[in-house]
Amino acid sequence: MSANREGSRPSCQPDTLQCPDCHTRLRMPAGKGRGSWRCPRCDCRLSGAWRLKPDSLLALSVATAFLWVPAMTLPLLRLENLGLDNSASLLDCIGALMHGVYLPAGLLLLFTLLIMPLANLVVVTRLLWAARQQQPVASPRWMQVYRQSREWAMTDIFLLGILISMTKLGDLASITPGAGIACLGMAVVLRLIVETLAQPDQLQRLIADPCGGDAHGA
Amino acid sequence: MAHESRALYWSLLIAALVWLVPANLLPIMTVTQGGRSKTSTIVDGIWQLFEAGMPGIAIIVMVASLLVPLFKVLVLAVVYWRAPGETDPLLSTRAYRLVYWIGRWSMLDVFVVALLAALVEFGNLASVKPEPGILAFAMAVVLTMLSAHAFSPKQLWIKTIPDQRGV
Repeated sequence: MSANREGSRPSCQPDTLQCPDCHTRLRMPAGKGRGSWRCPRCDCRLSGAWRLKPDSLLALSVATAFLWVPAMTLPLLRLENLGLDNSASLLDCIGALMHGVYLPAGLLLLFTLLIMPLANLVVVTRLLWAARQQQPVASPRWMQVYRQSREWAMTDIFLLGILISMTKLGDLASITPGAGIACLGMAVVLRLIVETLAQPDQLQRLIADPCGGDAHGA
Repeated sequence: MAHESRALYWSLLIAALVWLVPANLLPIMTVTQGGRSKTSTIVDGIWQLFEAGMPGIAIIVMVASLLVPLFKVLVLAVVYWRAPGETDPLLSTRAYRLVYWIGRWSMLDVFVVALLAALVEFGNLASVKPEPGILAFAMAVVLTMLSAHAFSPKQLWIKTIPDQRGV
């Protein structure tokens, strides 16, 4: 699962590819795109258990895009304490550490909760669109960003963080969940579905027909 | 080339290990409630969850913020150490993949502190302030992730592939 692997499409041989982790040359399985497929040598996952359908995944990505702005800006939790109340959105959380010595941590939150999830959304939509149109993407950078963003977009972990914060706040004040938490939760679930079904190597093969004659990506 | 990347992943890992020390010793946040302030470290936070009668969540936090960072550094160190003369590349590759994906869950504590600091802002009545430990912890997590990035499992398989063309 290394991120600095190169594209897994080695040369213009239609039925083989090179395992990105151990560089073994493998023959493409007969039932292309169906069933989980792993490298027999290093057990690297080369395609997921499901068939990759660009159309439906594209629809899910667009749905995520609509949820995205409310998930970032609407309050996640509302806190009431002796008549005072306060609420915080995801952007407020990033801002909470954006001062003094905590600036690096604040920037890290900005990167993992805002920039990378956004990059993930844009890039996966672009790649799925390319797969749908069967037009290769001009730059291999799109796929690199997709691989990176799968790891660095941490909204799923943040969601668990909200749960733990709620239990910690239990005795301090009364908490009511806000609309932001619903939007964020749905956006995270949709992202996980898209990411699970759109495995990078599988998507790469779908976009670049192994013997299409174009020299991109390799 | 191979030497450069070797120096890079080792130095990132050692830097992460160094940051883990203040991350676990310094307090990560201060909770002020009714005029009384209480600072707590990562271990204190886990203990408070146990005492509050939430062992399930305490165990999740303990695994994510205490065990995983240490476990990840140790496993990576063993994998890196064995890489030049690897005899069981499959085992090492599996261990590497495992820690590669669980490492990101350590960011959990950073998110909890950020959310509490943003949410609990009632002046003297009740407030949560971040403390330097959380910064050290975030640095340790990111440096471990970067170190794992700098390493490539390809290096574990070089010796076993006769027709290897360039690394």
